[in-house]
Amino acid sequence: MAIDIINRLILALADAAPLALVTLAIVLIFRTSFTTNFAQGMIATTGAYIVTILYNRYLLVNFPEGNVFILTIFAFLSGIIVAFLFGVFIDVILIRKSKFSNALTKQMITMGIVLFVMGLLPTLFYKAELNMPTIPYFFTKTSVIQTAMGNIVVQHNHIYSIVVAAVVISIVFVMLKFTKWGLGVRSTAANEKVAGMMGVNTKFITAMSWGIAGGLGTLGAILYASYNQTIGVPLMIEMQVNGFLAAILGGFSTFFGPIIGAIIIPVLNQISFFLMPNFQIGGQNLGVYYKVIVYLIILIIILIKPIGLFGKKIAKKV
Amino acid sequence: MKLTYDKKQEKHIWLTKLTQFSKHPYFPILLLGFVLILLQVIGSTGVIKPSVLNFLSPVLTRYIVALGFLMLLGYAGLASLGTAGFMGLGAYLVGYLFETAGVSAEMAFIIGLILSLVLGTIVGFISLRIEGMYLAIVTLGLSEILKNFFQNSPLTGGAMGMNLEAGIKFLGTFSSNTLTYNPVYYIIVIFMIVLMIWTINIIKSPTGRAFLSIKNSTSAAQAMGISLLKYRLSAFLLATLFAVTGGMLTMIRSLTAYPATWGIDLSLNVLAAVVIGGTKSIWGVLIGTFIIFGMKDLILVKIPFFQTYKNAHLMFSGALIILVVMFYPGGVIKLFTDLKALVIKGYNKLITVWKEYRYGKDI
Repeated sequence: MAIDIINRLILALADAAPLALVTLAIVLIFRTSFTTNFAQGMIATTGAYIVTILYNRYLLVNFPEGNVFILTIFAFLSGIIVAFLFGVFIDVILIRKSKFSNALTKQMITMGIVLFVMGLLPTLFYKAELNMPTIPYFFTKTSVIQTAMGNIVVQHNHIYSIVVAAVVISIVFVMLKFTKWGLGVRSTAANEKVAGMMGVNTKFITAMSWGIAGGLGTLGAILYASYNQTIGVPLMIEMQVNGFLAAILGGFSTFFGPIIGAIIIPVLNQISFFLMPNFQIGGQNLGVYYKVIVYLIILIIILIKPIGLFGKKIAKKV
Repeated sequence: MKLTYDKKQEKHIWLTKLTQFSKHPYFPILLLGFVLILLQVIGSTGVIKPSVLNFLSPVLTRYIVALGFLMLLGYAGLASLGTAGFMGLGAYLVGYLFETAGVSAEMAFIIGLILSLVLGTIVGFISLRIEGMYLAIVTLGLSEILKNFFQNSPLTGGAMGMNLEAGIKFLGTFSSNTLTYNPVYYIIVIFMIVLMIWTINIIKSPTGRAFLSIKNSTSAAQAMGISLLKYRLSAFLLATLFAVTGGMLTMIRSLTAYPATWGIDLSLNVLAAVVIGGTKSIWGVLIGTFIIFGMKDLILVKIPFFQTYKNAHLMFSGALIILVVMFYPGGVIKLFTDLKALVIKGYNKLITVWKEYRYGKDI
């Protein structure tokens, strides 16, 4: 029993790793741009497409003798950089140049981007081979640790994504706390106008946040895609929905709350996956609806605590 | 005092009444309905090809959905991503209640409306209590839940979809896939006319003004005693009602439903139709719906590029949303007023030039 819980906890954390990255990206944009970025998932999917296409079509063909490790890392980095540029492009070209700029128009622009990318990717990469490259010797192995109580099964790619996500999230938090960019983000989040008056270059801060959010999302997509190897346009849709719900669950007003929300949701998912097959309604097993149950639990929590578990109530002046 | 008219005056009064009615806002709506019904009546004699006519009913059902979205987006200033989820819910509810539960189609329609409104109230209340922006997030989650449910539940037929092969009898018409000209088309047109009239009435009523004031400034609206939650929730419920009605009519018309139909791309396409047409006008939305949904069925299917790349039309609607939001927030309907102003300006300038030439420059 105890071993079973440990195994499920590892699976939950493995799901939480990419989710936490996506959630952090969403919150970063929400705090600096004051909008919900629905294109987050599609930017990340674009990055993942770039990685696979670059690796399968160009790197494998042109450098058949090359070191697989270096080639894979190169492909990952190029995908992240493309997504970074895409994020900056959305902020600098699309949002800043639009005639009226408020939360609703920004939301609509991101929705338009979702639709555009949804059409663009399958057209541009028609019938392409979409296997996410993995680092051999690291990613595809499974180890079994034998203990007195039973076997702990560990897939290596799960451990690596947990480590990578933890390191990257820590770096972002350190940047938020100690760098000039982090100070800018925090002051912009508190009050954009006053931050601008105090000499903070809010435009630069916002553009950088969009770029970093794009990069974080792509890293999440790469980690997530390494679990089941193939990617497609709907790759990040569910992840993005969970990211938004995690952000609401933790509270949009802090940076660490959403991360905790992003850990809670996969844990709840695993508990629900474990418990629900024991229940039946009208002769139908509830096991297939385990995600639905989790969504309902989250909605109930939001109903009770609308500002989120760790949210602070912010008084608005008129 | 007794009033007397001679015959000439009577004719004159009749004419004024007609001209007055032609300026009434209902007149173009009724005219549109008349033309649409006439199209099918003429078409069923064999003059118009069925392929041309059959693309109309899906477009019109989506127009009904877009009308609800118009009130939500253009007037209350909220965006929802659960439109397709609610359409699917309506479609499956009417199909399930009719086929498995054995209820008559009219009763299934009413039960479906009530159930979806209950669901809409719960979701709207949870999300709108916090802030308007959260509605899109929670409805996105809801549409994921519903899609998950459609795919897995035995009630909906799962990935195989739901198929009402025996046909369905609704409000005196019989819908079946064997018919070349489906009479449910008339019902759809009647629903459309009624809902269009209802929409313009809501827009012009105190409720519509309250929606608009909330969109422009929440603080000012609150200061005037407008309850944010009440009006936002009613706007969302109206959008839900229209979406569910559209979904049910789609099901009754096409008799099949698959989980993949009700994805996020449909929600976003409805948004695109509203944004591109113009977020404040029912006529603009009609044009937008024809651009997004009609163009795909009528024109794009004939171009080889769009036949190979089945998703390429999404690119087109996405780019249009971005362009319209960025540069031309009024939408296509504003194009007409702008063009009119341009023509009048050009005409006046021409007159001045002619006068200057004829009488000399005024110094």
